[in-house]
Amino acid sequence: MDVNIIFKIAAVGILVSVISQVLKQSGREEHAFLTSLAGLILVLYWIIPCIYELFETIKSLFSL
Amino acid sequence: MLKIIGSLIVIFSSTGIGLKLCSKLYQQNNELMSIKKSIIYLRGEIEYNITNLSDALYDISDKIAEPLGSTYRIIAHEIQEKPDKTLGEIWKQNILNNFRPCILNVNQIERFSDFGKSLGFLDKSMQVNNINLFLIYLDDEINENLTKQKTNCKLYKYLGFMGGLLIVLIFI
Repeated sequence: MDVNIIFKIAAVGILVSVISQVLKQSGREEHAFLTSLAGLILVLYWIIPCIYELFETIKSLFSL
Repeated sequence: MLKIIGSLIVIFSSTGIGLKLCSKLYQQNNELMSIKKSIIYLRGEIEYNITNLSDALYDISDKIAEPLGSTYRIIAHEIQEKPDKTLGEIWKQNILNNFRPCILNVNQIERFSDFGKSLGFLDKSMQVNNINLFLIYLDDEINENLTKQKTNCKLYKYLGFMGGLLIVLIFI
């Protein structure tokens, strides 16, 4: 795992919030909600393997 | 280096898609204004010059831009050459075949092609009234399009650019 993932998540967060704002201002609240949801799913897709790896490391460290 | 070039290509192409969608709205509005202008000329020819329909359409075809001009010329020619067909049929066939259907939406094309049924068989005042009714419809469509243009053009441009950025971020 490298540090770039943090920057990628930050950039996706900023972009998704800007896109949501633009969509809300155009009166498309449902599309804004779907965009935020898609961004969240994408970030979770990146994060969950890292969290899994963390828990596996902790388990092996404490021989659980 | 290749990554940067690829990213730039993706961003430019997605921005281009946004701009293309925006320009489609402008072109739709321009087509509707062109149709409105031609119908106003037609009303003038019927009301004041009292010319017959094929001569009126020939005169109008020189004053308006393509492809509407050439469509009117073909309709005027077919009115004289095919007396067995009604004006409504000739009008509908030529509007659907020769006009640019990809710019206007289906409802607008349908309405414009049905407009020909109201021409050529009623007295002058009824024809003028039908033309005025069609002009009111065109005004409504143009105003609706202008409103859509104001809200959607900015949206398409921003979404195009940011969508490209998002795709680049996902794949880098």
